[in-house]
Amino acid sequence: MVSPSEFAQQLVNALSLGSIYALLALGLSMVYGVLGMLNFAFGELVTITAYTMLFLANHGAPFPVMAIGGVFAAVIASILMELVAFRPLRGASFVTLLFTSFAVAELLQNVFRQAISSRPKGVPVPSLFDNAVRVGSVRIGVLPLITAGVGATALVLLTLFMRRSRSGIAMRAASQDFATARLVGVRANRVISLAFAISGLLAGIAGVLWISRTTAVQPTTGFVPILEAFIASVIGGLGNLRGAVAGGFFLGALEVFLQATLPGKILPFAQAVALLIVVAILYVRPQGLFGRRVEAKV
Amino acid sequence: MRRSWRIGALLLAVFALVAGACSANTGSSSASSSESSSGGTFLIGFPGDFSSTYAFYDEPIKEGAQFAIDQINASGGVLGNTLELQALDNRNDVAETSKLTQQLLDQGAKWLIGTTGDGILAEGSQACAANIPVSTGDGTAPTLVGDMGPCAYQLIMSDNVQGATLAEYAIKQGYKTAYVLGSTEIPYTKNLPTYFTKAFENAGGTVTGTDQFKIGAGDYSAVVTKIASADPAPDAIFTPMFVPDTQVFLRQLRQAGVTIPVLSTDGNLDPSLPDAGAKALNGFTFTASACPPGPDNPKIQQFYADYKAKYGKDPSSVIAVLGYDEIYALKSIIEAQNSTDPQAILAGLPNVSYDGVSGQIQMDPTTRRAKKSAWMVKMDGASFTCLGQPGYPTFVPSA
Amino acid sequence: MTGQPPRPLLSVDEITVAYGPVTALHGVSLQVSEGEIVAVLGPNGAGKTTLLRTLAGALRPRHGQIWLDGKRLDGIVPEEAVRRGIATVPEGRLVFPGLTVEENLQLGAISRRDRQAIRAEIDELFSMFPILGERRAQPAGTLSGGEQQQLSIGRALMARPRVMLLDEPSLGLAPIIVGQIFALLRDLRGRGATLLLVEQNVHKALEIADRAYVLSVGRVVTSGPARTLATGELERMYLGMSRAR
Repeated sequence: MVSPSEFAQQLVNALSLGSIYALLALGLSMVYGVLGMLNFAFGELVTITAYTMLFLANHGAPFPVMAIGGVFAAVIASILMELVAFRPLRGASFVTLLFTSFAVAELLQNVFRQAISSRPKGVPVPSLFDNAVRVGSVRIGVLPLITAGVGATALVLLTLFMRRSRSGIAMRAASQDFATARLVGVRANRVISLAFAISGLLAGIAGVLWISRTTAVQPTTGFVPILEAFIASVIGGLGNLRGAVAGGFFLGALEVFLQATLPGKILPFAQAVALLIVVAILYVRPQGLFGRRVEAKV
Repeated sequence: MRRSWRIGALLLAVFALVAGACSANTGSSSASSSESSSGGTFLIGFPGDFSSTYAFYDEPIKEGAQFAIDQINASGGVLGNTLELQALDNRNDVAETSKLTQQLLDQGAKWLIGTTGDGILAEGSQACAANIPVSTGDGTAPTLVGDMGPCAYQLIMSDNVQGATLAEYAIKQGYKTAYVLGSTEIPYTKNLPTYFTKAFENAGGTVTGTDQFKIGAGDYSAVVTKIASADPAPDAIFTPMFVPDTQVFLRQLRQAGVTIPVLSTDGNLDPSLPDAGAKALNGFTFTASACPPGPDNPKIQQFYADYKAKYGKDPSSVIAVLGYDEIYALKSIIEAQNSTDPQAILAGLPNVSYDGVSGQIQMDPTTRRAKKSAWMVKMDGASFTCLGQPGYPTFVPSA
Repeated sequence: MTGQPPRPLLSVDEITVAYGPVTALHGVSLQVSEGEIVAVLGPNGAGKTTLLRTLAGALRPRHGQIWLDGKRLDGIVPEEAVRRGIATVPEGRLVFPGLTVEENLQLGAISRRDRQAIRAEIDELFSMFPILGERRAQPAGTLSGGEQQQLSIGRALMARPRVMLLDEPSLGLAPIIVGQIFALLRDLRGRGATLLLVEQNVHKALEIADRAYVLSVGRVVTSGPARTLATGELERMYLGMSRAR
């Protein structure tokens, strides 16, 4: 029923979507790993990236400047978010921090609504993104190719950073045992700021890729990214970085697969089916596909 | 435009918990009664959303209505009465809409403009309980008048008319087969595919494929791949998708090399649409309640010129002409009935026939929906061009 | 040792530490001199671990002061204590199981900037602990208990501490391994290290310690040269106290 070329095409779709989800899940997991908190204002970093791109575009900036500016803004916003909202609550309960992050998300959305607009605003992207290349019988869009390429490069560089650099080792240690990491000399504030910075970097990169696809931004733009990031990182095991990447690709593939194969009558329930599959996975492996047991944090 | 939709998901429930703690102030206003003889004031109430999701629609309706009222009052009012608009912000909150509606009724409002926001059914039922006429405002769903109550009337293009207009257009273009992409998430995207399909098949067309999309998904590559692989390829694609999803879908569709024309509906008349780029948009055709101003629609162009002359700026969108037309249609009823009494207006509403800026408003007394033609817009590259008003379709599916 | 009493490097002055309403240490004082091994003994719940955690900056004393080489140490955070020269070998070893042996050692030197010297010292440690050298690329979680204890001590050494705090280094290890660990500690002292050792294994601790303090219910009940305390009086008292509790 599904032809080989259609299958190949859907595979590219899954990889492209999956790489964005992987970046998002990794960004969310990064902070969870170090601090044991779920930052639901993470999606708003994507929105901030998008509005920054829009602002730069309105001032005549070319796309590369828009992209870099957008990523930069997300990094700064992420660090500030921690300093202003979460640092004063260091050591507070999981639920307190969770609700604080909801409040931050809600606040930012209201700021966007009041200060900018509650309507979608278009973000111009290069027309190059709309081109496609033909590989055999498969037509691959330039944007999905760039998305997969940027996603893969970012993941490799981040892996190298986490493996090779002293800061990376310190972050991994902190995410395994925060208290002992401090006893060894890892500076708590610095490693937490770094985690938020990397989280912002990932949100920014994913945001640029996401906006390149949607060409529009509105106050609720961050909703889908945070939802997908959350599901993907739960699949992979919260706080597990490798798991987050795997969870992201898995979720991308699952969504494309369900859309491609479910009969029309069930399609409206695709999201529900996807969540059911996730619940089934968690039933069998409560710690996620790659997760370890939950440890006490900070 | 479309009826209320929400990204209904688990997170919102929690957001609500956090945000919900703040609201609920119930002060009852006790303004009372009015006198309805000539020389008085005729109060028009509009509990609209002027600050939230639907402000994009309610704000221009308010602007257009105010413009009409200012013009009418400047030339002596209606039957010697001065018109007055009371527009109060419901912040897209149903309870607030209900409260404001009651407040407006207590103040003696004799006509209510329907909000595009979530509170429209509350507004309708309260208006009808008081036997005060109410419009659907910018609401296009044909089921609205039934749901709001017996005093509700739709003075603008209905969704089943949009679907039928596009179906006729498709047949006229020589399209024999169509691929229909809907979403069961909200009535707008659920019902429009049905209206289109009924009208298209009635006119001899065949729907060769259907699929479902997810509103706000940000990615439609899997949907697109299925369309690209459809064998045989359809002549046209119909979808009631709206911004910002349309941009995503069209770009991914054209990237996949699919050049099949796409037909859509009024959720696309939005300034953010052109940012999808000329390559993706060129040829994209959709229906709308009114066209953007241009040389091919002189009435709307004149409306813009007059508006700018009076207020020094453009209305916030072309939807303003619907508010403008609604007030003039009301004026024509009052004059025909020779009374400002709400009961006389209700008696005159089924026969209203008024040629407005946005087209002829010809009420159908059985459905309480105006037989109003849709406009058609086609993208020429990334710019909107008006195809005019093709006329009321010969076959319109029931609501 | 010379006849002169060595000047105290670490000086704890009447500290009181509480967890909420529960006071764990009541006005505890002790001194550690450069090059000494000082043991802190006492039964479970005496406050030994609390004392070490306070010295390491993980707990803040409610009263009293801590001095390291003439500088106040109380009230600072753990990562700052490391930079001032306090390294901890925590109870239960607490190596980072997901990091390799080598990464654990690199982490020990996180407070230092001299990369070249760090590199050389890691190689030096690998020659000191050949088994760790063999397993340098393995996750630390795969090591045996004794190997993890070696790694934990090595990690603390990488910080080039002025004083090393060891919390129950013998806990949960086989007797033969315990022997090796204590031999290692004696060896470290031979190289000039200053150690503050918390132990339940009284015999072993007194064997290598210069001096000892005995804690009971948050107070220092006796202290003195290890040789004196080892002669039996302490043990009677200590064991007697343990029974009395």
